[in-house]
Amino acid sequence: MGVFVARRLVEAVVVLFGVSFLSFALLFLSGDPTYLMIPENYTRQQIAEFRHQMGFDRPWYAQYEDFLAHAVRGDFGVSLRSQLPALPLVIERMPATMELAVTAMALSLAVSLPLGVAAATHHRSPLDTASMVGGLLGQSTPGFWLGLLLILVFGVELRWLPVSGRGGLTHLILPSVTLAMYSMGRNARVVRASMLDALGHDFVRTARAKGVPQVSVLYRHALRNALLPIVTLIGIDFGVLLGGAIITETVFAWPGVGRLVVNAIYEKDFPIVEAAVIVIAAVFVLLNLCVDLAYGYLDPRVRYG
Amino acid sequence: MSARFRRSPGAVVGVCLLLVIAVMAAGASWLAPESPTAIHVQDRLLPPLSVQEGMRHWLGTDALGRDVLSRFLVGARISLFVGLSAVAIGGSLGTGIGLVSGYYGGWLDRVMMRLGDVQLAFPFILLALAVMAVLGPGLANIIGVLGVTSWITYARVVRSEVLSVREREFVQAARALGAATPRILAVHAFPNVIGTVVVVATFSVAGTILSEAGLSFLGLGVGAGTPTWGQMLADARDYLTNAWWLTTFPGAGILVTVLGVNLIGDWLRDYLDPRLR
Repeated sequence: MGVFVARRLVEAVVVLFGVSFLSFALLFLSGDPTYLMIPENYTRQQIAEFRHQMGFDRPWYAQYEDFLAHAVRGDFGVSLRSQLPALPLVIERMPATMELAVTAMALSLAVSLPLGVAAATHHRSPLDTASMVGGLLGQSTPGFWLGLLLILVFGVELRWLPVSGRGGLTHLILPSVTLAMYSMGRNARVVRASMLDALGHDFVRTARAKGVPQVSVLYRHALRNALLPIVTLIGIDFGVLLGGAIITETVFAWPGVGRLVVNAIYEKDFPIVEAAVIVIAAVFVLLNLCVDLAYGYLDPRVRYG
Repeated sequence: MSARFRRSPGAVVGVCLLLVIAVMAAGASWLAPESPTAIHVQDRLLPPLSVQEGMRHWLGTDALGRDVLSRFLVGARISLFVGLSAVAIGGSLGTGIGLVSGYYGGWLDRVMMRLGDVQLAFPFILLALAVMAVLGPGLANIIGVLGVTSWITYARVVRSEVLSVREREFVQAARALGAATPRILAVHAFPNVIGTVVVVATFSVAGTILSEAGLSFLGLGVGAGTPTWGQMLADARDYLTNAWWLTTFPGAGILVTVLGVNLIGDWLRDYLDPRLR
């Protein structure tokens, strides 16, 4: 177990190293930021001096080395717009994004687990068909369109819910429903397939023969064995949710990292983009590490080798 | 195949939905009442079915007086084109890498898979967004980005299939008979993974269409000059409250297309590769 954790940690560091290189390469290729940073009336002489002073005239590997040396200390430079350090600007937006993503995840599981189980236990019933059609629809709906429709119905027509910004619980409803829809649909389908598989095993028949109550058969015997693919999905889902949050946040003017990064891209504010990409990737890598570790707890048959 | 097809209502519905979209996309030039970019400022924001200057705007007009139906049809064409060509690029790239990587193993395999891990550490849309920010909007750019970044999905699936195929007797026999590696890969390994690839590719078309729409919605897709469904939705945001048709139709177009592809994907998976779920 210790060896496994150590190896996965090393792997995570290697991956993050790659992420840092990839995001550096992207921004290096996007061109010299000099012209975004200087006043228009600079002479050629002044421009050359400025580039030298900022180090933009050095070869890429020297700039990457410099970037990495600063990055490991949490220094991603200052935002070209606000002149504030980039990393704190990103970290400060993180709680809003996590709030949205975690709520969406909870919502998705709260709906898809019971729905998938019910569909599996009532295999080939109208309930099964209806929930699978619903799941497929959820999986096929573009999130931002759903968001716009929800705004139109619940915000503009009915005036029940606020449609933009972050605030109390009511502000959270529309964005999290929008964000959760895709994974809700997919998870319901996976839970159903996984449960159908588990219900076909002998231990379920044995439990039933022993007279174990139906609820216990479903949730203690079958669902526990069906959980593994679902836990894998949760790890992947979180990436999908973080990515989806970028668009959802734009639709609902939610002050999270996604909106920050989209605006930074529009404004060519590269230090912010760089810091945001690396922070999001780091969260994602750590989360998948936790998922891997959770396997052993949920299913002792998984060996950490 | 056809009997099983008819017994699956989902597949029939999926094919019908896609046929409608495909006919619209293929016939966009003939079906469109007028040019999708023709501007009539005096006819702006007309609701669906309005008649103006002897022309019926079946789906209304947008904020610049452009005919929504014409734009919708061209949008269908672009959606399908981007989805299919990006998948063709990603599918062939990923399948090739997966075949070679799985068959040879060793350092090549390790490097490719580690590279894939790095790529998968990004939420996909963030990676696409960052690359599009660097390259700038454009049809070729979005196809390239969505295509190239999807290689790892295919590579992983194909690689794991090849790992097991490699050890099977018929491959060992072919090798013992002196078949060259390219031949073993093409004649023995490839036919064994093609079913899986087709299933992954089908679902990938759906995902790619959604990604393109999302990126275009953010203004980092095909580009402002071209009418795409995502772009139309981005434009519609400002008129959400007074022109429901601008929001409804492009979104419904995406939904119908993606749903059709997913339904066909479901059926193909059951038919070609029951192990994938």
